[in-house]
Amino acid sequence: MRENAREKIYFSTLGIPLIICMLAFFWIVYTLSTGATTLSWDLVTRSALQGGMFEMIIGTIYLLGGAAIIAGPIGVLAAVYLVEYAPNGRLTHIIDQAINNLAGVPSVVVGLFGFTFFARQIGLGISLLTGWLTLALMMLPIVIRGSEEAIKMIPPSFKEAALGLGATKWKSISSMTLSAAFPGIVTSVILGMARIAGETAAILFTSCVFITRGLPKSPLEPVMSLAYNLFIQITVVGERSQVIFGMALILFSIITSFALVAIILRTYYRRRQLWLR
Amino acid sequence: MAKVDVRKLNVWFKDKQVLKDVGMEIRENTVTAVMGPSGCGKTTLIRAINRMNDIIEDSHTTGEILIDGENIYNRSVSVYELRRKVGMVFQKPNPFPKSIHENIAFGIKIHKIAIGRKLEEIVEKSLREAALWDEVKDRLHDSAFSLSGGQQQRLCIARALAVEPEIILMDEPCSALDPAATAKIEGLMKGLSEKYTVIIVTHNLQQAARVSDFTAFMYLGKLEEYGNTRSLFENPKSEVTETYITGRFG
Amino acid sequence: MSRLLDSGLEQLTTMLLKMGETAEKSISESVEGFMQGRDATKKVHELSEVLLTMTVSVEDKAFELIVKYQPVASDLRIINSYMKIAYDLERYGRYAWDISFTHKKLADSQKCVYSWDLMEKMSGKALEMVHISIKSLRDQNAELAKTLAKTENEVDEIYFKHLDHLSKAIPRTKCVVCNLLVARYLERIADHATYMGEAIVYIATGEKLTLR
Repeated sequence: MRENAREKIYFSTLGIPLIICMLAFFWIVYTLSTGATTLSWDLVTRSALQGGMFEMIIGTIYLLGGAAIIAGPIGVLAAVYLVEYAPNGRLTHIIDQAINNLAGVPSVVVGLFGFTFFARQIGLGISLLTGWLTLALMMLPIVIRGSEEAIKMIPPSFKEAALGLGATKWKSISSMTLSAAFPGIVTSVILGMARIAGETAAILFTSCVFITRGLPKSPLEPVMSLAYNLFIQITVVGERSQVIFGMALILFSIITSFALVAIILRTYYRRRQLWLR
Repeated sequence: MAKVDVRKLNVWFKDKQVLKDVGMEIRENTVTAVMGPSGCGKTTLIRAINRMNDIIEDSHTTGEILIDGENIYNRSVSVYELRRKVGMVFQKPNPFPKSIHENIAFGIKIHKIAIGRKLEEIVEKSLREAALWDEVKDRLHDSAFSLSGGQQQRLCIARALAVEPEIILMDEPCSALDPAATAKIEGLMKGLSEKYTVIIVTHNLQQAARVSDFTAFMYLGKLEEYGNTRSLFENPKSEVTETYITGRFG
Repeated sequence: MSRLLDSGLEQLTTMLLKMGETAEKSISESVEGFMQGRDATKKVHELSEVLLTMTVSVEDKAFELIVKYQPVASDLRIINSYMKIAYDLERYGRYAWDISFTHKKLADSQKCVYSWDLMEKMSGKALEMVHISIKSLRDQNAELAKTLAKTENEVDEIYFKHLDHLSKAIPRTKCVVCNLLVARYLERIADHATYMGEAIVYIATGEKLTLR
């Protein structure tokens, strides 16, 4: 009897951090929702030149989307290389370490690198493209690691079966491994996007400006983003009204919707992973 | 001319020699059983026939294996074509995490054998040959994992048949299955041998006696005895074979 | 290493050897009874009934071993041969009974030996063959079993000589017929000894010889 009671107590206490997280989450949502009153369809679709938020919202979406489109495929292919093709030598080990290190680089440092290398050295200037590349660099380690794990989880028996049928290594990977590892890969992309979503420091001096004339017509133009604007509003402009909460709420919603789409995709594909049962 | 002619085959994994000077001739359209105690090299032997050992790191092979007179270890031989000609069914059923239809179509597509109508015909033919068609014809697009173990193994057989092989290798195909499923697959083998050449590795002496025309007994990497199944089981020539099949090992 | 099958095989062997003992006893009883002119039917009957029961047990045991253990190679040859040998041993008992019974029916168990020398020789050789067959079974001696071929030829020779004599005999017809039949039974006993020998050779070498 004592054992039972003890077990119950232990397991209940495990739930406490979860409760704390959920409380924090709800508190954040509540705080942000106080800004909901300032929002209106009109405000969201009006251009910034007229006091609206349109370009900021689209800019944020552009930045996140573009970075994901770059980091996603590159990350997956890099993961495929590392798992399937890389020889077990020193060089591979060094590459491995480098990826780990990249994951730990503070965002402001990545931003600085993006500024000096992409913007200045290569000459892309402060632009959407620079932002994409910089954010992609931050996303990459997460996508690579996650995809690696997903690929490694595929039972080798499937690979054997494919090879036994006369498939080349690449055919076996592209036709079988990747589709089987898809849920895991999608998860890693979600996690990667979560990393860069609220990023302010990395886009601070690589891609964003406070205001632009309309949407960027090419990736070489700078862009407005909610995070950057929020930062400037609070620190430089000194804005304290509910509007900032409104902006934060929108940013939050964008990130959540990206994540939701990815989770739906993952759930759909996960149902086909019946071999895990 | 023998369908498969193994000559002086030696295989090493790292420094360990797993096959020693193995030589045997396998006739076309027969079922040949390869048996022996664990670690005797029987799986390595059949994996040498479709060069699946090449995939293993640190594997080294010398000797020849001639299929229809051509040495498959020649540089000019395409391993991918070879593996189409020599199909393999593994110990644990391993259908792809795709639908039943996609499993069969996989091989057909990668070898660009057929598309459209013809592809569908091949899918049906393969499933019929594996005695699975009637059980799955109404649910070809269900996941392969919705099938029972025995059905999955027959699916794997159909998958191998779809690429029109000449030789079928089976590595203990029934060891993960219950007696009823085993009986179904054993029943298949005789029929398959009319069209293909079947080589099966088995732990199960009685299975070897039931299904095969010829039996090879491997021991410590060597081919200890090879001959007509009836004679080998009634009156083995080698003392070691006798000791093994009567269970006096140990 | 002892296998599950081994204890079964041991039991089978023991049963068979016991049968051999009994068979030998019954034949020597009945032959002696005939040669000495006394009634051996009671004893011989007992022994041959025992043999009949034992045959059934041996067949049953052999079947059990096949069902349970799916024997192969030498084990399978042993079991197959043992079933044949059990039949031969039962036949020994049967012919022993036939000799005593015929002797009683036709000659009222009186002394009635025609051509004493030939009969003595023939019965002696038949007894010897029975003994050798059982010995080669006990010792698993295929070489010894092979020698039965020669002795069988000798018995056949004597048999036909005896038939010749009998066909020329004048009165005492019932006794003549009795001798004829006894000679026949002795010849059959010799035949079954060779069958046994063949089975013993098969166990050892897997060859299917004919020793006749």
